[in-house]
Amino acid sequence: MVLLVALAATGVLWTAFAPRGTAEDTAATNEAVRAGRALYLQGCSSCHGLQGQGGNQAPSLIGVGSAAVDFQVSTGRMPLAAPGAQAKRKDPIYSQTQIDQLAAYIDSLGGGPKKPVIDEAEWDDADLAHGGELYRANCAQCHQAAGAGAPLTYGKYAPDLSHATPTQIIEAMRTGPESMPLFGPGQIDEADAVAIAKYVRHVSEASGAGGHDLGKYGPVPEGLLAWLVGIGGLLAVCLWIGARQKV
Amino acid sequence: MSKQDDDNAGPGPSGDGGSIFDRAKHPVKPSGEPASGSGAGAGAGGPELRQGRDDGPERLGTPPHQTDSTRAGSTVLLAEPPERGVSVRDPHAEAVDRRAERRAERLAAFWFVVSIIGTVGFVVTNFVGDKHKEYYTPALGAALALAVGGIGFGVIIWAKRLMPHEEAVQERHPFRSADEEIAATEETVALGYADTGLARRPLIRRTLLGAGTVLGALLVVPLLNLTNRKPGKQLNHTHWVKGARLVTGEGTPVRLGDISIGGIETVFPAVPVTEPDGRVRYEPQLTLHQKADSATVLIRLGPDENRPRPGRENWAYDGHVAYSKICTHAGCPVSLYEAQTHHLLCPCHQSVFDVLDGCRAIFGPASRSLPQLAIGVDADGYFIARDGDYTEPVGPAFWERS
Repeated sequence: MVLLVALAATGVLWTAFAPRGTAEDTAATNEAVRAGRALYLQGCSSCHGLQGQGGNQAPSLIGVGSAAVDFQVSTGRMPLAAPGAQAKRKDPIYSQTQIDQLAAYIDSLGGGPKKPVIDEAEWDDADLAHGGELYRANCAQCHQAAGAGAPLTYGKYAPDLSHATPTQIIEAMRTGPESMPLFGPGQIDEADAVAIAKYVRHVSEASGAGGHDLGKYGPVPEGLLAWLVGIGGLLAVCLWIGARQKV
Repeated sequence: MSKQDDDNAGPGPSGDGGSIFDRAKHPVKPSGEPASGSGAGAGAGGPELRQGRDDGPERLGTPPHQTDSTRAGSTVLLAEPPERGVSVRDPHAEAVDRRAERRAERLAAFWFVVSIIGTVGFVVTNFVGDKHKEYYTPALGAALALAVGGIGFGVIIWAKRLMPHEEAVQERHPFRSADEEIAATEETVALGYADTGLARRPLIRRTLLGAGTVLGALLVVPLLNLTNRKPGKQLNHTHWVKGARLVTGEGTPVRLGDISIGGIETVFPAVPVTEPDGRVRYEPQLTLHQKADSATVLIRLGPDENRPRPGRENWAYDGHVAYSKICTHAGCPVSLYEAQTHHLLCPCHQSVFDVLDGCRAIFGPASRSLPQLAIGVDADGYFIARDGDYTEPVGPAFWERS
């Protein structure tokens, strides 16, 4: 009897947890790869080559992985608006579905960092203070203490992080776009990466009370304006009073 | 105190010219005669004393206008302004026209009410407003501006358009003391010196003089200290020792493979300590004082990208290179790494170092390369300082740097 119950339970559990739909998943992936390849040939291949092999204008995409594709295309950096020191962030021209298809195609050319998936529990558990420490140790030197960004050399710059989504922040760490060094899982593990992203979102959303805050430095321009214009104005008024006063 | 002081104190309130306040209150006599004209105070005593002074009168305040309360006989005033004391200037609209006076009154009152509203607005914003909204600080500032500015504008309008406008004179006593006072002071000093007996006691005089001179010479000693103090050898070495593991700022040892190509990590030494039982423990050197000279960047370059200097061919390990993080210009942390150009950038003064070329300074005020740390990997796969400390002092140049 006990054996029967155990067997039945095992059967039920098996049906509940068995890997399912592998065939459909593969089919879906194949579909995405096909659609992505069509998009790639239309929008990317003129620079990156028909097989993603790169050219004299653009790097090879073999082995960059889906994280790089998602980062570059979802931040609007690719397709490039114009050659320059650095690709600028702009509104993405592809929908997220199309971006995922492109990513699936590039991923099929050779593995690389996968697009990270942050689940809600992971986000809630992330240690904000630790993320801040890691941010200050690894990111703040270029991106400024509150993620406002800062210039590098020859027109390059570390971009403002206030518009970056948590996924994009982690993708940038994992793929090292353009001038940015690459921070792999050996250096910053999954939980730490999420904590950093959480910290960046936290400082980006924090209030900088008092007008233009210069990247969370505080209302310095207002103070400067008060000193220069306010006190300068008072001096001008004093001069004016003195000049028009009959003695 | 001598009688001179009494004279300087100015006339009492009893005099015809009276104190400056008395004269301000009663600028004209009802008849229209100027208040402190030459005739009025002739026999009163006070005015003569002041007029006898050789320093001129000082004018006070803005010369304004009259209100109708003090306006009687203004036509006479206009004809001949008084030479000294208080004079009255041209009357203005408010002095002549009652409606203008009312308008000015209302305008001043309006600004005082504005001030009340501003103050209330400030308190309300402070307690009700949302501190995290953009409007909060500007709203507080605007309310405070109204609160303070309203009183200011009101007072100005009140003073300029409604207060009686007068020119007042304040007398000032001469700067030089009276001759008797000077003589008395000189005498006191001479007597005091005689009382000390220094003239009669050369021993005390000379030893005191000597003590003062020697004390003064003490000021030179700090200057001498500047010339004979040497920093010693402490600037020549850091906390890196042979076999020290490379650990992160959190104390985690860095293992081969942790850093991807294009990655960078700031590392510090963890020095090996042999326990009594023979096991080796690694002690991270992470106090601020230890970090200050030992901070090092570990960078992983692509295969065959590094161009090692002669004699440093085996200082790198599998594309990993380690350089001092302390700028050779002014000692800032050089940590802005451009992974594509392999340039390290110092944020303080924009010195740029070429990582592929032994961290040679290629731009900016720094003139020396960043010192390189020879690294290797121990049996457990952890990075270690293979040969020990840097072969040259890290950071900015100093006087005794060889």
